[in-house]
Amino acid sequence: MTATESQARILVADDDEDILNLVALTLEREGYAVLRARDGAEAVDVALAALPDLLVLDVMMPKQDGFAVIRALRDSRATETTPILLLTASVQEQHRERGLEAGANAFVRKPFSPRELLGEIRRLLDGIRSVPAT
Amino acid sequence: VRRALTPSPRLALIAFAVIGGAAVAFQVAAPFTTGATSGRLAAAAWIAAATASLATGLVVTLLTSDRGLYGAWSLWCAAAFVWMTGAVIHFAVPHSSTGDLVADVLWCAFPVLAIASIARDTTKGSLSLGLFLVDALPLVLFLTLALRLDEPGELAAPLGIDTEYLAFAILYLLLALVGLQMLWLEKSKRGTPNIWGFGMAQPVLAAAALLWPEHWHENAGPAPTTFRDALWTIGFLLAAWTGVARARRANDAPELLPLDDSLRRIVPPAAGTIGIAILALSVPQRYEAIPLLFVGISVGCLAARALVVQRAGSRVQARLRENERKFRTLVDNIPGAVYRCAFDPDWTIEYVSDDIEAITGYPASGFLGSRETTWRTIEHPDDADAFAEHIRACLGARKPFDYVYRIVRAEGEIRWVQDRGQAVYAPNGRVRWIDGILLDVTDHRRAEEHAARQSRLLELLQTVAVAANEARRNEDALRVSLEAICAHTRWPVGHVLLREGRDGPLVSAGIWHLDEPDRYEAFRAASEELSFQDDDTLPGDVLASGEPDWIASVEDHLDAVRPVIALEAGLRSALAFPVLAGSEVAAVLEFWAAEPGAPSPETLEFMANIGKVLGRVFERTRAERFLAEQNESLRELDRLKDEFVSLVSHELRTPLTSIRGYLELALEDVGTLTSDQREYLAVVQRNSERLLRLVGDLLFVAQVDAGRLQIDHEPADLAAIARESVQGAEPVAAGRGVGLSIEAGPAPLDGDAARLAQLVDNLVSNAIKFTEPGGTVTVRVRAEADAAVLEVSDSGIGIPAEEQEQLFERFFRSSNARRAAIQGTGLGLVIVRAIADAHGGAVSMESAEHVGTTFRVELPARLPQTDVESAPMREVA
Repeated sequence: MTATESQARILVADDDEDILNLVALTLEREGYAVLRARDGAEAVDVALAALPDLLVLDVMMPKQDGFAVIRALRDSRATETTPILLLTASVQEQHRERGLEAGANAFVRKPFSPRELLGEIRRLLDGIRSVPAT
Repeated sequence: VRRALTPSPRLALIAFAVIGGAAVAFQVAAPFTTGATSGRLAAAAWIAAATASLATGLVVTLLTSDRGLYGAWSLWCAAAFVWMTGAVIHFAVPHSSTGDLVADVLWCAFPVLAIASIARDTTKGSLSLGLFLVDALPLVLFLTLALRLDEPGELAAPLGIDTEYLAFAILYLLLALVGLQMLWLEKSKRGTPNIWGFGMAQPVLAAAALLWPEHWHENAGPAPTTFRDALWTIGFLLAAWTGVARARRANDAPELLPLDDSLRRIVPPAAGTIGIAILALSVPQRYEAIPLLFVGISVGCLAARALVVQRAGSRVQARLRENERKFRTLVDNIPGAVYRCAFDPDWTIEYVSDDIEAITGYPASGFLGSRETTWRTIEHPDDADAFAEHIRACLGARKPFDYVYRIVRAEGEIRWVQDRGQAVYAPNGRVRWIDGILLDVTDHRRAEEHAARQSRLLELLQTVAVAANEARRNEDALRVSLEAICAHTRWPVGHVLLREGRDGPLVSAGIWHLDEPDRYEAFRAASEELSFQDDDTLPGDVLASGEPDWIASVEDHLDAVRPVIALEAGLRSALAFPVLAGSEVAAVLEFWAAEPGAPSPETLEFMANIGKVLGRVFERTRAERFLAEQNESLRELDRLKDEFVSLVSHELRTPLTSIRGYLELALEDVGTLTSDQREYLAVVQRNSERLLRLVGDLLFVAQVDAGRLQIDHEPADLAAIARESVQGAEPVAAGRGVGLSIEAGPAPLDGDAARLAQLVDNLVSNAIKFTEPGGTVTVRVRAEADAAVLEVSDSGIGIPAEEQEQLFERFFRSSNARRAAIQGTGLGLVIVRAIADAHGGAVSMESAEHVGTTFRVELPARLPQTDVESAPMREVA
């Protein structure tokens, strides 16, 4: 665990409070600074305002879904290259395809284990443009 | 033979034979007797014979119809008469020059007549003038010359020849010529045997006469020599043969005289002829014997012929009677009337069988000789001229006729008759009469008309059926059918009415057939403004009853709106029928016609059929609409299912994520939990994993159902996949006390490694689950020809044979599994099969209860090009 990693700010957006807390808790225990959003619109607002180092986005959220959030962020220069990890509960392949198309960098399927999620986040923060494995 | 010889000519013949015989006897006896008495007796006998011969000739000639055949005999009779008359004069007035001259003239006439007779006979009936002139005229000339120069020496003296001898020489040379002519005719025209014999006799007799001229001199006296008499005898016998042959000639028609009878008939005349010939030879003045010979031949032949003809005649009569009887029976049995009629404008009936009454209602006698009931009067006026024209054409071409036309029966009914017949022609080509047969073909004709009508109706029905099949919309089928019906029936107005809504009134569909749109415009406009529901209108009544209905005469319905307008447009009757979709009236077709009248039951039935066919179109379009709606709702269901699947994924997996995540966090906190708490949480974790697996399986199956199972085709090794799976399952197997082993050889294939791992996992975990502690599970992988094969065998509880078929059905759980309380969803094997199918492979199994089960998965190996690449490598190795 390095200082830069610990200082990294990560925006977590999920409408499910428990998942949001789970992800946040996992990340905070690893020393990351966590920003929270409970819907897509809020996620966009926070992301554009705070410019986090990475986003963990749930796909299915009220107001704006994950795809819309990605598109909104990719349209803005400030967040053009911010790594984005998508969380989805769907087994449908098109979610993954749509996400990658929209500009997500990684894709983690629910249910995930916290360790698995951390691995993906570290890879993204290390600047490795990982090819989503799942 | 029209009429056989009657007894009177027969008597005449016998009389002729007797008297003629007596005359010959007296003549023969004359030189040996003296005195005028015998001479007078001989003369009387000759006169009687002459008269009898003439009478016989006349009777035979007049009474027989076959003039051709008997004409020759008549001439013979005349010749005999002439000769004998000459003889009578010769004997009655001896040594008178006038008497001699008359006798000589008559005697000269004899050969003329004789030759004419022969010529007529030779050419079978008709006298050949050419032959007659060639032979007879020079003969007359020379005989006349000879008689005029009766005194010896006057003319012949300078020549040194006796004139009388010269004349007779010419006569006999001519006879020889005639004989040769006969032979020539015989050869060229296949003449009859009598001519052949006669032809031979003439030259022989001529030779005999010429060689011994003294015979022809009155005073030569008898000077018989053996050779000379032999020659005479041969000539006479040949001539006699002619008589025999002539008698046989009567048997020209073989059926008249059976062969065994023929000899009996020939012998008497032949014997008579030969006897006369012998008598003739003993006559001192032999030139007088020549005519005697001819007369004898004539008498013999004529008698023989008469006998034969008469016998044949009675036979013919019997036959005729028999034929008549047969004819009657036949005529009576012929189905129809037989007739003979004249070829005149009235077809005057000469004969008609009694059956005519059954056909025409008039008795047969009514037609005969009546001017009131002629055939012409009962012919249907519309057909009479065409029929007459047909007969004239056929008769002109000398062909039989065959014609079907109508007649009007006595009580006025019209019937169809078939008239077949032909003309009998006179020799000059004129029609003598017409023979024919009449058949009543009304039933046949009506059946034909019915069949033709049926076939036209069928054609119409077919048109409608085809239109119904091809029509996309109800209106198309209705329009085509309406046009087809109007074209078929020539009804000027056809109209389609449709139901407004499902149970509303009928309103015009705007589909019309109008022969003359302008004329029926008012009717059309009125019809389109109205709607019909009450049963006091034609369409309304059809709607109410569901049955065809009609207006026989609009004049009976003038209290309603449309009939009044229809009548103004010249429409006087109407017919309407329903189009029934199921049991309800979907539409009504109505037709209006110019002539009043009710439709035939046939038409009604037919229209009802068309209504049914069109009804099927309505049913079909209705069904199509229903199907489209159902398709739409199926698509909607499909969409809902997709939504459900994604809902399940989200709504089940999201809480599971929390459960598992927090559990993991909790279990990581070493030290804060008691060992009991840690154990409880482990149970929670195990069950959450089970729940997760169940959700995963369900989603997988849902994906397969939706056809969304995607399979990568990457090079993979089934052996490696299986080994990894076995490795992963080892802890579970060990926990259960089940021995798990693997025997794997390289089994390359193109496939989806993750899915294949899922397949192997399922089979292996199943096998472990169903195996009791102490049992074994063996996984084998090997490459077979073009296939990678996986076998998972266990020594478990097995699957009952009757359940093996259901094993791959979802949610199916074997009775053994349930009894042993082995956990499972019944989806594992469904997933196995789905993955194998997606790879183009197959799953099979063998199982015996309490022995074990083996699942075998066969998957297609690598793609062909990989095999090609590997081939050289094997060679190198």
